[in-house]
Amino acid sequence: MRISLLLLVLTGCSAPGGHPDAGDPGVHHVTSGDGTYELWLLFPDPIPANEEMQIEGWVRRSGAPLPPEARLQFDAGMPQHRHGLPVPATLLTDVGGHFVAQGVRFHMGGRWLLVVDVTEGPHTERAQVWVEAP
Amino acid sequence: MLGGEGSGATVLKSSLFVSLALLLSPGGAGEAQGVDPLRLGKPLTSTSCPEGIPRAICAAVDGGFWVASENPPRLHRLGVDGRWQETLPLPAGLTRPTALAAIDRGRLVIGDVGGKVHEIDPTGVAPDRVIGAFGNPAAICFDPATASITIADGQFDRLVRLLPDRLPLLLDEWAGQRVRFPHGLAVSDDGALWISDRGKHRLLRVDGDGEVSVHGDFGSAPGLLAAPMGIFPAGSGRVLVADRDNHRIQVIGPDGRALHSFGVHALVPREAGGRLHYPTDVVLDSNRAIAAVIEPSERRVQLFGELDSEGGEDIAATWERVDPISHYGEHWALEMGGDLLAISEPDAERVVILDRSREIPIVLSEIGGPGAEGGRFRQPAGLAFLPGENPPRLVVADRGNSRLQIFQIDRETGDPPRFDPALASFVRSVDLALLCGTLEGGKTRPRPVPGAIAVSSGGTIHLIDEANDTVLLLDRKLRWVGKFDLAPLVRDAVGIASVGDDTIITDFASGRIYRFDDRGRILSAQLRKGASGFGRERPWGVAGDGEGGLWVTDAGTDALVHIDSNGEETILLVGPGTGSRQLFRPRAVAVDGSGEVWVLDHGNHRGARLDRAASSVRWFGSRPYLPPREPVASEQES
Repeated sequence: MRISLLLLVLTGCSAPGGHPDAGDPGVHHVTSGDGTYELWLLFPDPIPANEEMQIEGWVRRSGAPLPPEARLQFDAGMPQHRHGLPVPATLLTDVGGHFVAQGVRFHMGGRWLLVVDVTEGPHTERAQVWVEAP
Repeated sequence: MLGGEGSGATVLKSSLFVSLALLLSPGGAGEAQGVDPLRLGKPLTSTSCPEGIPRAICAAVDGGFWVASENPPRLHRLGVDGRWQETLPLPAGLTRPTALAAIDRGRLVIGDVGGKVHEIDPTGVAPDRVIGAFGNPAAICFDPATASITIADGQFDRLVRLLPDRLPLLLDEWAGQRVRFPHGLAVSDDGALWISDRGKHRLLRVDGDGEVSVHGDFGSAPGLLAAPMGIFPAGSGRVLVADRDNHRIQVIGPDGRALHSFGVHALVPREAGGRLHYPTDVVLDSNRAIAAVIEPSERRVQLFGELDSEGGEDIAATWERVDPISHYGEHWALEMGGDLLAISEPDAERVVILDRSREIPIVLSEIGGPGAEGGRFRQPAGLAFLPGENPPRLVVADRGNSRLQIFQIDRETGDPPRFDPALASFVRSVDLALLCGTLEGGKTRPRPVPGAIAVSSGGTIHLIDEANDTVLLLDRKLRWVGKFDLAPLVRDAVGIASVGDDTIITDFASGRIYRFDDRGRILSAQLRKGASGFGRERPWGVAGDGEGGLWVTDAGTDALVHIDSNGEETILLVGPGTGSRQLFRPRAVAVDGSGEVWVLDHGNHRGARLDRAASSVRWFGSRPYLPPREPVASEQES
């Protein structure tokens, strides 16, 4: 699901350089499981119920953009209900760790878990965010 | 793991080939029509292998079946009446047979876990000869139409075809479909080659034009599969499949649709009568009237015939499916200084987390599900808690994906035990093939196959790489620390423990228990007392007792053994059996902080906890393999 920078630019997303502030509306900020990466996710505010939306994300390692060879994976689900997204999201990745997940739809209200896996070489590390869908 | 024989010709180009194929095929000219495979399923008999564990089966050209066993290595002849007719020793060098196929003139081709494939003549007229060497010849298929032999190499995940002159031809990819642990091959009568892709829970069908179709996925519904193994052609393009972890045989049509199945999981230990327990192969006899199914875990063969036209119990239809693929696997781990117990359940591609502070451990969560994404598994194997982590962290060997994964268990101290699907979260993983590299000195190395895990008190992960006979050393973030070689002394490392600065390895093949120092040098190699090295002793699980001795499970004698620091042995539990002081195919063993010993009684689908003297043995188990139900009070009264 990786598509080039060109496609990402065409979507009209934010510039890839800067990430939003953690306190901005709709922004969730977390660190990965071992603290290697920081993740900012920008959701529509409010999160729409049972409608497709796009979620924009930025990943940084020690405050710096990711190297070009880094790979990202995005997914979401409701562990308590043992299901994932009704349709897999399309991930548009940019250089440096900037990405957009399109076609994300929370078809059920409740707690959703969003995960971003960052792979560099043989190692993969996960950052995850819980959000409440209406 | 035999196919092709009896399937008739594949792509029959001429009448000459047709005639040749029919003559070579045991079900050839004049063969009986046999049973409609959609009517198979009537249990006829169940018979224990006279010696050893049956590992491979094929139909004999002149009726009945050949069965190859290990421990000891033997070749047995089984009649269609379920009676064992003769037992022959296997040639030297064949110690653990993996696959068996009948070829022309009554000769057999047999593979061994050591990699060699032999052509043997059971009559003893022709000498034994080695016709090829592979990583792990997991399945062999003879195609009488071309007189070629196809071998599935379960270690290098590829197929090799030996042409009539025995020159090898590599078949390793079809339309981008890579197989993972291929464990069954067959040529159906429409000329298609079928491959059971055990690691991905599916079948590949390659037709005569090379077109590839993929059938199945992980699951228990009809047509879905769980670790499929042996395949056998059943006529009209159909195949029989040993659907191992679903404990059944399925009949699959050329379009991949499930047409029929027989066999369901045994509810009572050792139950037969049509109930199956990890069937690994199925074949039809030369008259296509009797199906033989081998179940190595029960050390037996069951024969099935045509279902009665009326009446008779349809076991599959009457069985209430609860959770058909939920069994304790071969590995578990205790959290030191905590209450957690983690158990691999490769049948369900998951790891179960339990609270062991209660008399009967309580399930808290499940991790995994089938797949290659982070947090999912293909055959979870060894696992261990990382010491000194808060919250607790668990490292799991993901065998089929050739990686290690770490999970964090976010449980508040003092929380009452309750099920929480989100209790454990995936933290990180490492791709072992990328980490280790697949080239060494210009020579291709097998992709690492992670097995048992131990963690030193300092947090260094010791991982057995079964494919390369090495121990890989990694830190808490799964970064490379080093490795040490086990080969050539250790040939089948299955168990590992970290005891002080030393690493203990059990070698299933030689029966020895090895001790290595922190630089990978061998300090000792020990046989169980009185064992010859060629007997039945097969150490599997190992743990330090905290006083210089070891606890060892012996899968060959179904025993739990304590070996003190002077080498003196005490056998505390011994089987095989289901009694309160018996084991059946025991696997991992661990010792908790209080000195209590935890034994994974894999063959009985249960765990045991006991004190050092085994004065008290307490059991707990997984669904749905349960002891016979005690009558409730109302039933007793009635």
